[in-house]
Amino acid sequence: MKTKYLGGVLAAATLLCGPAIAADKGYPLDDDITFIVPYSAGGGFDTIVRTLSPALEEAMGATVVPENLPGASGTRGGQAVYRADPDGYTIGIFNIPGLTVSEALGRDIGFNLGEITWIANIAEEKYAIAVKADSPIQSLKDLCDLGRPIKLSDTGKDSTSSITSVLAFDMIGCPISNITGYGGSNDTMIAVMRGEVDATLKPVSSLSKYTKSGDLRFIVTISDVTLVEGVPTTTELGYPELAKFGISRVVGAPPNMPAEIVEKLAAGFEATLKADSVREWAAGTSTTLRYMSPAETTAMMDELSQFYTGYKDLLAQ
Amino acid sequence: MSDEELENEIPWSVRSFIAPLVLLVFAIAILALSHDYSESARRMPRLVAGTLTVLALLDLYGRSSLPGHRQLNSFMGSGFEHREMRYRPPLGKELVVLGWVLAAFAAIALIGILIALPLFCLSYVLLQARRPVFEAVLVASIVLIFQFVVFELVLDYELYRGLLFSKGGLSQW
Amino acid sequence: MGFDALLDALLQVLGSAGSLYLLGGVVLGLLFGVIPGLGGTTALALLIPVTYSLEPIEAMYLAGGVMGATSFGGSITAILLNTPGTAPNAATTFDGYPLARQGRAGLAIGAAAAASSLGGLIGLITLILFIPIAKQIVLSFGPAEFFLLTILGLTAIAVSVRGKLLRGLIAGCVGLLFAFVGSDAISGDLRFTGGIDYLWDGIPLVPTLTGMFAISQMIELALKGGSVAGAATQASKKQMQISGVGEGVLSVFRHWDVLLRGSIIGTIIGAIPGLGGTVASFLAYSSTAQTDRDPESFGKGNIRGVIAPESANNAKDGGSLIPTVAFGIPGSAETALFLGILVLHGIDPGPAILLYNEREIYGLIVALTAAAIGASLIGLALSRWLVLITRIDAGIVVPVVIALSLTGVYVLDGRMADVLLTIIMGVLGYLMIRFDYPRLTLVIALVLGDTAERSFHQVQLISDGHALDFMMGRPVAVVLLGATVFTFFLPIMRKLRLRRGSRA
Repeated sequence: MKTKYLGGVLAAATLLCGPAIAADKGYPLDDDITFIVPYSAGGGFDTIVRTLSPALEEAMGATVVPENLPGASGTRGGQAVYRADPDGYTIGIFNIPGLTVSEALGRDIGFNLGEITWIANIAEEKYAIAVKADSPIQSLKDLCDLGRPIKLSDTGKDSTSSITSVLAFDMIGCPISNITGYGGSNDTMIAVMRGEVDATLKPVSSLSKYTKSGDLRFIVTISDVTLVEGVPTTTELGYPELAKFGISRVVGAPPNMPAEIVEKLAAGFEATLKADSVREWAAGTSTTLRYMSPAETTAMMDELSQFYTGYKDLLAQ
Repeated sequence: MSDEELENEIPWSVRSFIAPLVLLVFAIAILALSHDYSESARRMPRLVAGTLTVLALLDLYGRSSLPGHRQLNSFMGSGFEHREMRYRPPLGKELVVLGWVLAAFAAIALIGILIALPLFCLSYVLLQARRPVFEAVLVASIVLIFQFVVFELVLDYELYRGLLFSKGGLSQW
Repeated sequence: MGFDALLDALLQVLGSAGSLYLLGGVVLGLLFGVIPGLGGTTALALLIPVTYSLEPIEAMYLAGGVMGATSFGGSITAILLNTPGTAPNAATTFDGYPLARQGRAGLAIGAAAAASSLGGLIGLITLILFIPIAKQIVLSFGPAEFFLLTILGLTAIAVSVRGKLLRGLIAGCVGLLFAFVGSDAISGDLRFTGGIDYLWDGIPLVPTLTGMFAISQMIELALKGGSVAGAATQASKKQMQISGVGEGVLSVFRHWDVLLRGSIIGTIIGAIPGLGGTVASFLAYSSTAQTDRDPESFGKGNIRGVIAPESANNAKDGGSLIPTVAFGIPGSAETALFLGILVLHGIDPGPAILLYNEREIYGLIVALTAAAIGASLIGLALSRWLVLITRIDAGIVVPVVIALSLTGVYVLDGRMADVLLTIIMGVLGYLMIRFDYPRLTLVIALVLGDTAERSFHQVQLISDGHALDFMMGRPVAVVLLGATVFTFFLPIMRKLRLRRGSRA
């Protein structure tokens, strides 16, 4: 606790001395690195940033300060990153493909995703479809053979899982009725338990909490490799193109960032994801860590952008 | 108390058609705005704005001297027997107080919370309340110390620094 | 099993450094509760980075201390300044403030203190008793029940604004329309945003409430001058300083029926994710006022009108843990942050949370209980000085309250736009006071509007258009429907009976 107060006093002292002038030399020694979280404290994005921060501090040799800038469906935080100076002292985490889809649909998100300097991909997540544990539905085929549109539960029409549901079931060729408006992803899973909807499409790690407790049952994972023992993948069922869907937690920085700073940051994240504390945390919360270099991340972002732009008409409905 | 006495006590502006007319315009504006929205997006706003239109018209009627307005007021409880604010401030004083509130906001926007609000307290106690200087300084320092100790020091939270002292301008709002 | 773990947790609090964290949480919670605009959610959000260096169980004591103490802190401001310190204290202003103006603030504070600690205790006992059936409870509240609950809440608006029905309903409609601003929960379409991206997520509650109550009330007080209890006579001023507090505490035991009713309503509403304390305390108030033998005495300083919302207010914390122990999901904004703290410590809250994290959950329960009682004791000890606030000159109270509430609103999300909204709502709130439109109905409608709309559409979709049949098939829904009809017709029946009585 004592160091905490000391830190506060020091911060206050620097504050009184006026804004420090950032110099290019010796990055990242001059200043704190602000890590922008576009959602409120306590959420999924906030948690991963706050978990990574101590390890990142060690790797970078500079203080990392997570800053929550919630609002406007995550675009306010993105805008703040976009408008900051590309000096390496401001980075942010982005909701991908949520923002990619918004942009593909021509919505104004206040900045251009293509201009963001991508630093790294830090985690990813695959989807699965689950039904109530005692439901007669045993397979994807049973679900499609209900003889009426499948009722699915989701948070909002713009949410990544909802968009994935619309596209995936269109590719499979089953009509769905997506019931949106649930308060959070947990509520959508509880809606399945209550029996008011037939199934839900959600990240594997979220669903697995309820399949372990015996409330829900997986029928398929949307992936090309087996993620859950004994549960078929969409690729095995003959829909290989579905394996593209997933969620990524991507770190980005302001446009036109000098290559050497990008490299330093990327190396920092690579080391961070290997840190014991981070790995331990990821194992405890079933988070899949996956590092991608700046070049790989940028390529992935371009690919995703093209992919979703291709389904513009279907999504605009 | 007779009707006349009651009416004398209630300021004209409160009794007048102003408030319900503003509400009526608001309701109609909502109806017009929601015209272009999709079916599910406009259903509830339309329903509520429609209800508001009817209620505002009833409010108007109750304020008129048309037949039945007294019965309506007693049934719908739209009289002014239980007013929350029973005194009548002069318009000038009202504007001055509203001006103070707006000034507080303008000051925060420009020079930030940490400086603006103690300054606001100081000048309000001195100029508006006309209290002794030492009281004003005391109040201002309590506010300053509270903000600094609780937020900046203990919780390590940076209060807004103002447009003049922070980067990013309005986009940071 | 439950009580063993509880006892363990209790011993641990008393025997270790835990009590220090708890005390720290209580003090911070009281402070954040007292200041309008700042509340438990803000306190916990600010504490998240601090808890990172703590053990999970210590973090729980800190969080529990804050959660348990804020609502009593908020009632102090509600009673003394007609300004709810936190959103759920809004209903306390109805009868608490009239008492303060009569110079009986001590009585109201005493009652609020006793009602919040006992309410908190009842809520937690209910929680422990309900743990075995927590899953069933959560599963029995779906969109149909949500929709009917919001309708019940909106009906209660009409009942609560006795004597101002028409303008109360008008303010309610405006509140609903405010709730519709932003992206539609079902289609995602943006509505009434005027191109301002701040409004995409809707009009936020805390800035609205702070503006509507704190700022507008201060404008009114500045114009009136003097002090809150300025009208009280010399004799009652003397009395105000000394007595009343003990009497207030006793009054809660005298009105045990109100305490029990408030606590039960609080626990139930607390258990339903998304509705929260504001609705809980409001429903507790309106149901108490409505079924009372003398409903006309409410709003004029009836002590029962303080006990009901305050007991509901603390009981809801126990209730909001029901979905947490059942499925590992939050029942309120505060429990959401509490779960966030767990995730930060590498614990993944899920349906098995009670199996694997019994220590943390029971730690929180004990902390909540101790905090509710501790906050009340601190409050009672300070009450003698607190009531003096009602005698401080408006010229000093006004700038301080405005300054602290604007700071509080900024800290909530670090947004200046929130501060601007608070100012706008403050001016609007003042106009509402001046033109005599009730403010609370607007705020309650704003809270309920979003849930009402989204659950209405969901019921339509789920039931394939046969909403009424669907609702009639669900027992809880039928009960809620009955309660709504009862709420609506009771005042009319009473009126008729009175008329018949006077004729005879």
